Amino acid sequence: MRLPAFVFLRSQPRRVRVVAITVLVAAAATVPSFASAPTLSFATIVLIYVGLAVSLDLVWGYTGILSLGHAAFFGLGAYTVGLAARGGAPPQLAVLAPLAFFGGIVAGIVIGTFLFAGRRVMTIIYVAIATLALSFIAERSLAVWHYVGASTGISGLPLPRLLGWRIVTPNDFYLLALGFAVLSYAVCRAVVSSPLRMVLTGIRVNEQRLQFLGYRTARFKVTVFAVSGGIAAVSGAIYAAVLGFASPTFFGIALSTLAMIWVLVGGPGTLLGPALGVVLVQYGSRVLSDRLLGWWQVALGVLLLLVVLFFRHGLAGLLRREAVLELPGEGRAR
Amino acid sequence: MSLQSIFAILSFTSILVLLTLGLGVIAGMMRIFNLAHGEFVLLGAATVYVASVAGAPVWVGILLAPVVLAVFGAIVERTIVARLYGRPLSAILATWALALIIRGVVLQLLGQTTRSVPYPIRGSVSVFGASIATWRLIIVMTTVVVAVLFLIALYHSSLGLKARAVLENAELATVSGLPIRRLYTGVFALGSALAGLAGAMIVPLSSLYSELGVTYLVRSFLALMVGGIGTFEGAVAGAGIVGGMESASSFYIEPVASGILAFGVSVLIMRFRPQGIRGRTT
Amino acid sequence: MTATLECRSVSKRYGPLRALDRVSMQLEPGEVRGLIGPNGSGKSTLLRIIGGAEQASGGDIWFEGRRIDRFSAARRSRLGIAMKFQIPSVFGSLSVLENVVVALGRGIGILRWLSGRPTVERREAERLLELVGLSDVKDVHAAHLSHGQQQWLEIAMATSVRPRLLLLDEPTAGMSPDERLATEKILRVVAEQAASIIVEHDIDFVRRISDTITVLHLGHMVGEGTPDEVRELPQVRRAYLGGVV
Repeated sequence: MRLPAFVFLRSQPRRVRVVAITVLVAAAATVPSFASAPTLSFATIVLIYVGLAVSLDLVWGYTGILSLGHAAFFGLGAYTVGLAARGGAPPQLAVLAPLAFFGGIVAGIVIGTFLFAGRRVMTIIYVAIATLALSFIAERSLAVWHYVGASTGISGLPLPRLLGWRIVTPNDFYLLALGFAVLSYAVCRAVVSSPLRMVLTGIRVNEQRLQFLGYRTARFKVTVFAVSGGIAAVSGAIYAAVLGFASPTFFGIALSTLAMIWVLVGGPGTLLGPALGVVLVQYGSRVLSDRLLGWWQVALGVLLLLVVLFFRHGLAGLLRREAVLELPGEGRAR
Repeated sequence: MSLQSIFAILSFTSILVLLTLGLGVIAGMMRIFNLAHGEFVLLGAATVYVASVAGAPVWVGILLAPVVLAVFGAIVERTIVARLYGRPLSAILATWALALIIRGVVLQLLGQTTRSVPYPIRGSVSVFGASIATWRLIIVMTTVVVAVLFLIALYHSSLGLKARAVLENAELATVSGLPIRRLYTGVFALGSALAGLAGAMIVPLSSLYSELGVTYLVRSFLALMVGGIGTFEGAVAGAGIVGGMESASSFYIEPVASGILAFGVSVLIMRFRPQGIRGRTT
Repeated sequence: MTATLECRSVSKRYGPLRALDRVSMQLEPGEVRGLIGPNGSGKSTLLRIIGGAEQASGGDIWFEGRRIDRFSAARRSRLGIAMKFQIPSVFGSLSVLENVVVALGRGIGILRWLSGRPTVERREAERLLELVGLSDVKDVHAAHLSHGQQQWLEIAMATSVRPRLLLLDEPTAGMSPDERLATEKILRVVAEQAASIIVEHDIDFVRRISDTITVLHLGHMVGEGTPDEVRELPQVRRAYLGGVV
């Protein structure tokens, strides 16, 4: 039986992707030479956000876990740096970044075990509401905890260092952010390029079927959740180090929702999609907030609504040749 | 604990009962988890505020709010929700987006400041010797009336019968010729109206601020999941537990901490009894 | 020798509806059991209960001398019971080959998934696809397979972990006569290695392939024996309302 040629094609061949990314990174590295100061700091923030975006894609786009409060990990990382500074520790990122990563992993294991362990498959809405509630609790708790500065947070963080390199100028911050963006992406890419991707897809598409095949799916989910949490935490740590402060809003729903928008606009389950989604959405927000002032928040909501209704697979979905992509809880999609 | 405190707890819980009934009837019937439910509360509160600023008596605003929300809910159902049956994840995200939009619009129109709304009835009544704020009493009474009407409609009207049929077996109901589309729109409108009513009644007490919706969203969802989806008793039980926990503990510990406690315990209950206390296991 | 499977007085109720009423059954190692009956007789329900997709309301289930009715489906699968569902539920986003690799991979630890290329599993998967005739389409997304092909894929997945008890729910549902023949050939090979229960509507198919047949009607067992014996039983004929048995 002959099948049309297109069904044999999977996602873009690896070579194309590697070339595309190399070009992107090279282009990104040249930005400091021509960008104005505000543009450079904007680009720095965008690059930091990329870490959060790809971590969410890993846990949601690939594994189907809807974490509505993912920014909580981001906040955790930020406060790790903040607390270290408060405690008088030197702002040595070579120590603080792994520490944040470790903190994110531990938090991910604890929360993940709580959410996923056991034989019952928890429904999407349960995970969504539970993660929402937990991030809510985190934000509120920190907003009243005086040791960490309550709602003002921790500010006046010292300029960071990475081993011997003192990170002082905007160019330095940019390169730091670029480095960690590439690193976060690389880690996520390594995970989803490995055969583990098959299991994660199975969990996303039909977890119960996987259990009927004998899998202890909870282990996989907790692991991915933890790794994702670790990456998000490192992004938060870099964010705090670059901005010089940590605030409870870093844990909040606003940032979590924004992260979801990045992933959806870019295309869940593609890694590169969400990374580009950050750039697109943040750039769009920047432009819009100049024109529309406060109404850009509304515009963002409208964007999310339109994407959900009509462009479920995001930008990547428009470009991808792969004809089948099942989103969690949705069954088949064209 | 004084009678006064008990009434404070009761009135808070009553609001939550209204909310959870509204949320539950939508979730139970259509499997749609309306994450914009909290913002519907905000809209109800905003309606009252706008009415009072426009010069009308507060009563008018309070009666208007459920109507406004019913219409709004019907429109939302027809334009957005109807496209998403069978796509539960997209429904969650779309209603989340809607919530974002509503919150953004209200924030823009009203700004960051908290706006207060006058009480429709001031003063207090004497109940068993204690002095209870009249408005709190009215909240509780209204909720009881609404709940009773709801039960009567559900079990003693033809509409209720149709609704229960759909609840049991949607496929069979469709094939039997029940007007599912209209029923769904009606149910969504009803749920929205209940949220609007809740918001309208709470606003004199809590004032109008942009984050009003979010807190009630989390509370009502936790109540729904603790109590269980698809039953009347579940909605009431869940609201009772979550609302009761939060308001009762607020007398002994800081309000922020009581919220955290209630949410934390709710998440725990949800985890170990995912179908809720009185939910239907699907 | 212990029976591979023993069901003792298994019952299932859905509210007032009795889907299964004290059904008992015993299966020897390597035995191929056909499970037939009119619609609503409870065949699928019984299979699902044995596989762990549903819980019985009464009675117990023993697998290789061990009581398993409290075990989850995942645990039963790990013990050596594999199930092919009535409605194919393959992983559409994965390729045909990947589906089988996943089915084979349940014992692999997370680290090995991350690091290694599961070559052993790949080779075994390819062998299985050869068996069920899907080698040509091994890189196609499973969602693009025809209904019949999905059934074969499901069989490949079910049999991949060398189960000692294979539960097949309507393996020929929706298939053309040619496909049925192919399925029969596949199942003859597959059933050599395991005890199996095959639920089917195609009576001829069941007769050709089974060692023994159990007949259910309205939740009761009304007959059991070799295909020839069962054909002669009057209650079986009655159950099928004089239809072709």
